[in-house]
Amino acid sequence: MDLLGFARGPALKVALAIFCVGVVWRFVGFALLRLRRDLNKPRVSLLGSWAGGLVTVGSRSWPHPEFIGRTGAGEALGYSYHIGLFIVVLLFEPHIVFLGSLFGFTWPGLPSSLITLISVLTLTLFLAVLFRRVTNPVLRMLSNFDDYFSWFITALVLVTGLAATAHIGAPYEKLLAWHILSVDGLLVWFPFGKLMHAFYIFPSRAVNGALLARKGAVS
Amino acid sequence: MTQGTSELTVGEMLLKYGISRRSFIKFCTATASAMALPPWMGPAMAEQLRNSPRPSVVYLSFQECTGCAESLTRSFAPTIENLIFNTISLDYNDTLMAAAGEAAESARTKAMQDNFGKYVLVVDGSVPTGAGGAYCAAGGRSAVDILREAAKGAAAIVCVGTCASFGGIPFADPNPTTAWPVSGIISDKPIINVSGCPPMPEVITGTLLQFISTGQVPDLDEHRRPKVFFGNTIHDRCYRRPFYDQGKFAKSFDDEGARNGWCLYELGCKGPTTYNACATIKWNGGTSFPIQSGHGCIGCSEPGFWDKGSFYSALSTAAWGKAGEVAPRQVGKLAAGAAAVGVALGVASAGVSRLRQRPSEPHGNEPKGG
Amino acid sequence: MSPQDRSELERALGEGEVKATVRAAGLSTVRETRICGVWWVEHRDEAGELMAELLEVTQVPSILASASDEIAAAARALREHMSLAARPC
Repeated sequence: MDLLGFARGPALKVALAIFCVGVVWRFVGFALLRLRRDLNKPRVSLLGSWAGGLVTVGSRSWPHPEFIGRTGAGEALGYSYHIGLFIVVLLFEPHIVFLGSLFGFTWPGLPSSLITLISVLTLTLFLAVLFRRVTNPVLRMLSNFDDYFSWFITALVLVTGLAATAHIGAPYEKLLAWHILSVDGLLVWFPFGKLMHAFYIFPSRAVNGALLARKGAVS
Repeated sequence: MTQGTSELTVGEMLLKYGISRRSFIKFCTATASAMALPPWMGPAMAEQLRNSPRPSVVYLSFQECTGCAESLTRSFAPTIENLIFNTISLDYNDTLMAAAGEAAESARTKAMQDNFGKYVLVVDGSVPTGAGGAYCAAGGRSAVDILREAAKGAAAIVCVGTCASFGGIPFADPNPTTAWPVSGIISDKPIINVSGCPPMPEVITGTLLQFISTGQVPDLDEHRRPKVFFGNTIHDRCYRRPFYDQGKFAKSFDDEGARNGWCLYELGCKGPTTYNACATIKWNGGTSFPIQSGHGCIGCSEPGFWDKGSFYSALSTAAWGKAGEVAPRQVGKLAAGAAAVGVALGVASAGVSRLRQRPSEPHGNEPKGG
Repeated sequence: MSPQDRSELERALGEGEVKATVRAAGLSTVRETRICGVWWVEHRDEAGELMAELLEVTQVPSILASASDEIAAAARALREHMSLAARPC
């Protein structure tokens, strides 16, 4: 079996399986954790705490005005490359064909030249973000292997994808194989590191918001 | 077709068939040009060959469909490629020769003896070793034995077609006859793989001509195919490439996009991973090639192409499962199974965590968030 | 080579004093360009399809010249032919 056959075949199957096992495991584990008993009287009804949770999901999407000076640039940077990644992953025709083969349905995409442009922009932002993490003293102190490896594996997918589309660096079948293998690697790493924020972000904001609402605090 | 090697030189033989010296120079020049050889090589090859005795070629056919021989011999009008048959002394070819039975076999053994160490062995079809080689036998001898004997005195072996080069369709899953490519049986002779299902006639002719006139094996890629013909992918030279670059893909056969000549990537075209000369030289005297006719490339010159998934699923699709096929339902089953395992692990982990949390707490109202 | 580049090249090289056609397995045309010694050779097959197109820098393109080994036999053949023609009917 050649490298491309392996990447699209057994490697992808195992990677998808590990991804599903891992994500469900962490999600169920997190959901079943017991919260510390709150002996206070609730300030709002149960429905009120749910509503508070939902409000928090929205309100945490952008920093409070007091903090924008310090964190605004970082937030904007983060939003930009996330949007870039979503566009490239979900609206590039060969990706739509791939996801269609997994899910059984497809959707319209964007012209490939536009996707290439967005990919290059996203990669640039990615490098900027790494630069920021390494030069900012606070971020540098807080960063660990998880942060850097999650960045690396995602950047690898981006770089191999661009190389494959541009047909530079190696024969196409090797480039495509490396791209798919790096996606397999991403899938395997995903449930065990900070990339899980993709699934946790909204539930954890909701829980925090609900708890705050119960205490009568602003969310 | 002659019996044994002729005493006449190539030039004298050609004249006998009414083919002038200039026609032969033209044939060699055109072939050299197609192979991107320096232009002076055309007349040089012609001169070299004209004054030599006709090189002996023994053509053995094993587990094959004869499509490769057909590709070379059939044409709409007599093509200049057919001149190869006047250049070589084709001492054995069971499809084309008039003789049969003992007469044919003795012609072969005599040619192999008379030209020991010098004849070119051309093979098409794969070689089965199952059931002691009984799946392919001629004249009471298995293909494996015939091949091993013929290889002993060959100057080089030219494998014509994907079956001889890589095993082809007999080699595909489940390979019931235990078929092997020639390179799986013979390891001590130079082998040139001219793959394709079938290979292009110009590629067969060009490779043979270059070998018999220079006596040297051409530059080969990692699969032992002549780089001059197999150095680029179909995709590299495809005239529909601008549509690929723009992301204009046909979604189904004969839809609006297909009628406008859009890229056939989503219809399963394997052009990007297939190395062959179809997009430049084209088929049937330069008439067309599969993509130009609206069907994606099936990758027929690549090893194992029969087992690389459907000809109609794109290169970017998932491809595990039997013969590279996977359907969304199988993906669903995999995900469901994995999720079940995940739930079990999640419950177990949560259980362990909860035990580690403060054990004796009276139960009270807890917000339903967690 | 694009059609524009080809016609550009044709225009640059121009036409010289010699033009010849060779009928061997289809038509081939041999044309000396404005530059002495640079010949434009076109090989076509029986169906008229272009097989190869070359620029040969040489005294005479190989397709045009007669073979040197055939010259001796040719002289002999011509003498015989002339002696036959001279005999009274």
